[in-house]
Amino acid sequence: MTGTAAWTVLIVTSVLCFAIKLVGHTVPQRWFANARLQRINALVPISLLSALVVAQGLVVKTHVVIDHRLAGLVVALAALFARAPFPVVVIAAAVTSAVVYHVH
Amino acid sequence: MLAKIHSTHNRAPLGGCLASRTGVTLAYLSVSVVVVSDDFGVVPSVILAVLSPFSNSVLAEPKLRANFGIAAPPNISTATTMTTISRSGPKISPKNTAFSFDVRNATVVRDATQRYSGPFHPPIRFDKNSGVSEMSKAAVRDSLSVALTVGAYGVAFGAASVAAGFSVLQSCLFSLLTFTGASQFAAVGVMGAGGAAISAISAATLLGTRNALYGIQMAPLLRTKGLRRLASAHLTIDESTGVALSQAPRGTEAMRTGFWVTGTGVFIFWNIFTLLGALGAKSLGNPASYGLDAAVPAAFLGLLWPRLENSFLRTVAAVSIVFALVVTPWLAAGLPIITTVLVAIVVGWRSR
Repeated sequence: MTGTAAWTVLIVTSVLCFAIKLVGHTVPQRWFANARLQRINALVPISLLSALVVAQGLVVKTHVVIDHRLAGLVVALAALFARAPFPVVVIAAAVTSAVVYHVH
Repeated sequence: MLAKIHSTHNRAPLGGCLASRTGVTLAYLSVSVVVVSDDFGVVPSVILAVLSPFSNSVLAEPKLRANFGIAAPPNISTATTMTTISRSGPKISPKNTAFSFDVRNATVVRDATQRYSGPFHPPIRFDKNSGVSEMSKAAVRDSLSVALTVGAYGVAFGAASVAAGFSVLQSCLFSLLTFTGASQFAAVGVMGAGGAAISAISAATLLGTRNALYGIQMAPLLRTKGLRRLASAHLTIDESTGVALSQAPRGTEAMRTGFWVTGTGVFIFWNIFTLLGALGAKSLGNPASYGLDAAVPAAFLGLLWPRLENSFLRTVAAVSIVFALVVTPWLAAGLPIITTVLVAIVVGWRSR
């Protein structure tokens, strides 16, 4: 990642995310009353976050790879099933992954 | 004389705005003496008045003399403190009143909560004399516990951001300027996966669209203008909206308090913890050796989990995961993430 790309992402993301928030406070309520739009909007975070789990946990560049990160993800999943709080989930995944990384 | 009308809502949890609608204000009001206005028009009078107890002879304006009540410190918060400056005597001149009661109809003519202006001081009261503050206190308690817990996730973001190749400064700027957790994670996640800037920006922006819907829900509640609107927009995130909505049984004042305290609290803690996480990751070195490369997807999983409320949504998540896995070998790094939005669009377009 180049320095320019990093700054571009930082600035453009910040501007767009703020603009979106401001739009919500400014436009008339009925603009977003469309049921289809609301349905899609509710599903977008689910699809994106699912894809991000895959991209970060199972992919290296353009290859699907199974490595120490998967062990961390499995433990995170178990922690979520056990209703563990967010920090516990993340730390458990990190510790597991680090252990597998060093053992391997 | 200067007069302060301090409302104590012993039963009504709401501010003057509701009271005005119900027309039963006087039942909840105890009119005590003295002061205060956030109205700039009366500031000189207030200053004079503050001086007057200590120079109660020559320097004091005649109508301000012997008014010791004025020594009470001005209450800057205006959530329930309504203010007026009016002449003593049988007649109340409407011209001089920053706020007034229509005594005959026993209704509040103007709502003090709407007088407030200034971006960073939410209208909260902590003093014991007000029934409203009891509700607000409960709202503040809820808000702060959420703010601290959620803010602590900032550690994960700071670490993920540095691991993805952003500098400590850039990580902190993300939390200050973007300030919407999932979008920040997405932006650094895509860049960390070797994606193009445009993929990172679109993933983050798409994740941020839900904040527009939150804003639509919050706008009628907050009724902010100018600088305050910018502040309220920036603080519109999952948590501030969630806490505000959860305070509904305690009344609109508690909802507003919930929004402002949660939003401001998360903002403060999120930024502090981002810095700590970024510095920590910086000093630790290779992300894989201490498990940070697994902590990032685990964080995404943790963000995803609470959204999977029913089997339909779980199916959408499962399909998205499979879809992302399938398209990964065929697309440039980072693109599968943004392409997976197609699943949401197709399913959302057709379902029900």
